[in-house]
Amino acid sequence: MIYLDNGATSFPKPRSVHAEMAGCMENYAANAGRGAHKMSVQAAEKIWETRVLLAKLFHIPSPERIVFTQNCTDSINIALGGIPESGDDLIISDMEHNSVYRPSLALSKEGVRTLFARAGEDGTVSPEAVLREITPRTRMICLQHASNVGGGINPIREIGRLARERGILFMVDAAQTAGCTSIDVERDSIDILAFPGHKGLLGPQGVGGLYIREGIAIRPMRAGGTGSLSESAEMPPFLPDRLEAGTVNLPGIAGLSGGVRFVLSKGVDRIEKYERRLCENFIRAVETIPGVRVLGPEEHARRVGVVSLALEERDVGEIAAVLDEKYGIATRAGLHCAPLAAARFGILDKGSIRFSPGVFTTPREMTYAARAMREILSR
Amino acid sequence: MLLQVASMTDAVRMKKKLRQMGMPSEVVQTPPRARRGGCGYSVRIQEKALQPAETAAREIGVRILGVLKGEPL
Repeated sequence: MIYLDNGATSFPKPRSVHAEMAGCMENYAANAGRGAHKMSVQAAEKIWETRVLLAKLFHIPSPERIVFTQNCTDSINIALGGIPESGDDLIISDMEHNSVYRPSLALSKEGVRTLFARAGEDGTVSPEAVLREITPRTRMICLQHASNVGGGINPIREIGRLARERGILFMVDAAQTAGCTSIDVERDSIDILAFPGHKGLLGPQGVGGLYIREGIAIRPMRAGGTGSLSESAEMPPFLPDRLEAGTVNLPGIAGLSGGVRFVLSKGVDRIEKYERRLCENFIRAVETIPGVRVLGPEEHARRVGVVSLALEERDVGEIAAVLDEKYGIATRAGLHCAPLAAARFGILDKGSIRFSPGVFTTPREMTYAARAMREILSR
Repeated sequence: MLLQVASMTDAVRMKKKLRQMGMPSEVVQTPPRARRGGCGYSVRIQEKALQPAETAAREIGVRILGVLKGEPL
């Protein structure tokens, strides 16, 4: 199988991920923070080590401000559910994934108004578009770093700066960029960063993370045991415990440590360049096929490793099935859980077919996929 | 000697920091006489390490809730 669905979840995983997970399950899969025996302490040390690795990757000054969650959607829900209050305005864009769109709209029942910054034709959001939506009531701006449909990278550094200058919280959804595009929470003025563990960070499914800058108060949406301040009826006031009720996914976190270590050893910049080159060559090969439209920015430097094609006359689901059955190529077809983005690109009725290579994809595999597309569409 | 901290995360951070500084340490459950019914974790250190440990705790942002003497490493 040629796996080109890394935008949904990365595959394969580095050996270090397998080894970490197996090592955890075989040797120390105890409950961290629920006892002081050796295995429990070892579990807690692995969790801390993973926070430190993530902090290094994202240039986060305090690893304890990173909370482990189930996935990026969970992280976004925790932040959106725990910060804006009745009377606040929240700015998102008209390109957001349902992971941001749905919880934002759900907040309207709590009296939070959602405003939409309009993306340009290439699907990226300019600082000016965000600026236009700012009101005296704006509490938070929540934007994707890059689109899972068009692949365009938003200028988060500039948007972060304008938010910081106005005292507005800036949250970034790094679902498509964590591990494959440079993120520096200090440089980019990011107050809150939501990221998945199972995509560019190469960890297993079931673990994600949320960074919250020092000084930002957040209401926990879940309450329960934390192994700390157990005599109190309230959740502890400090992170990570405040937002980590219940047993965390230790094998997942251990696996994530292996993934992050792999990413750090390769270097995010190298990974980004490699994936970009794969996509650039692929785009060059498919953009001349009649009836094919490549979504997202034309400039390759403004893209992540996601290439979605809109097809004029063919059904994307049917093409994805042929790629799977006849060519052994895994892709994704449809709206990619991002109806806003599909509407923005004018493909809400037809969707698109997405090719998303990863760090283990070879140039030959991308050439084969481009040839397959040409062959299928010429029939 | 035990340094009482607020959570297992803080206990692990202190242990790692102290070991980096070449000081032996281990994470233990806080004894019942000091833990007020909670789970409670502490870091056991040598008595002579108290002052550098307190400085290290301030440096990394770990709050020491209490110091229990007479708990040898």
